[in-house]
Amino acid sequence: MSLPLDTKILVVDDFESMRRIVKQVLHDIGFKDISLADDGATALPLLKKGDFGFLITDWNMPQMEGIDLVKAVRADPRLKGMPILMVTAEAKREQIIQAAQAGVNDYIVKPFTPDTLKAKIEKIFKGVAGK
Amino acid sequence: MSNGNFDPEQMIIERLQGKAAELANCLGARDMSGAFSIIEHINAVREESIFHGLGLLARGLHTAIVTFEVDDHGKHYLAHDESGTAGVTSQLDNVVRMSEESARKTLNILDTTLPMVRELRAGVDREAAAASVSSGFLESQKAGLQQVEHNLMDILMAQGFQDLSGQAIRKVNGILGNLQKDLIALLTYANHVKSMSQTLPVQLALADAESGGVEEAEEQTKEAALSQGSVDDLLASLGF
Repeated sequence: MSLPLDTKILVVDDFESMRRIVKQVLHDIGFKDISLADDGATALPLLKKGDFGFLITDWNMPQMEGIDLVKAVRADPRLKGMPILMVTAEAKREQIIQAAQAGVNDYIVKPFTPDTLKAKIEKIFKGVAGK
Repeated sequence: MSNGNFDPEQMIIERLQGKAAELANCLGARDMSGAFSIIEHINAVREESIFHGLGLLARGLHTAIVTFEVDDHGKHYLAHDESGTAGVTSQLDNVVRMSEESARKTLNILDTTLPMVRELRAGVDREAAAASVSSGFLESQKAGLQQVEHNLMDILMAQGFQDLSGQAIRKVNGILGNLQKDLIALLTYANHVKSMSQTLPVQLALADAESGGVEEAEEQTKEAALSQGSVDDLLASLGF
């Protein structure tokens, strides 16, 4: 499928290396408008004042965890429809269920490959387009 | 807490042997009140030995955390705290910082190298497309550059180790800190219960027994997190 490559994306992770890895892979897929945030607490204001169309977030972050960021986005009338991909080292079954219940569109366990990230993004946007 | 002469197990054995002899004497004299009093003392010795073991464990853990060192090869990378001692938590934090810096350097190099390789690939593709006949040289260049780009992407993805190892180290640091705090709280509580009990006239095996020690310890454990120096003082006040 053809991805909406003009989508503005926010990548949230407390580790710089992971932010840059995800950004590079997104860039290779063809996305050009990619912003970065190092915590849920810094990401939420950006989301509220920006026109982002896709959120990729880590779970474990020091100030505001990714799961709380997801809940905050889903609770915001303007942001609640935003597709969200969680990319995290947390792989326990109950955590994946918790993330799904909070409203993530999909979930990737670190470490991951560029192909996995691309496939998940395609799946998410296919689902969004089908609604 | 070992000074070469002190053997806590031997100390307990000697105390029990002394009490056993007293118990035998009481029973021989049909002094039941005295006998039961000695049995209470023997029970107190058992509880004291458990308490003492916990104290040694807390002291050992604390000493290990504070004085952890690496070999000379890695020492110059490691920051020391105000007391001049590189504790295990600060050293683990340094490992996170060093691996982050290493990953940043690698990613910086990749930021400049990947576009160069892609530009080279595009150039070779243009040459191959413009060539009137198939060129083995251009084809091999094309395949080689494709492999280089693939390898560079593998290097990029491998930098994710820094995130995963960093998270693991942060968790270990948290566990160490909580374990130490919980042990101190347990010791303080046990010491408090003992001091309140009329049936356990037991002194700490190594206690200096300075007045106010327990109150000071309780006050300190109310804090969310103790500094290393506070932990040292608290353990000392409890006799460890």
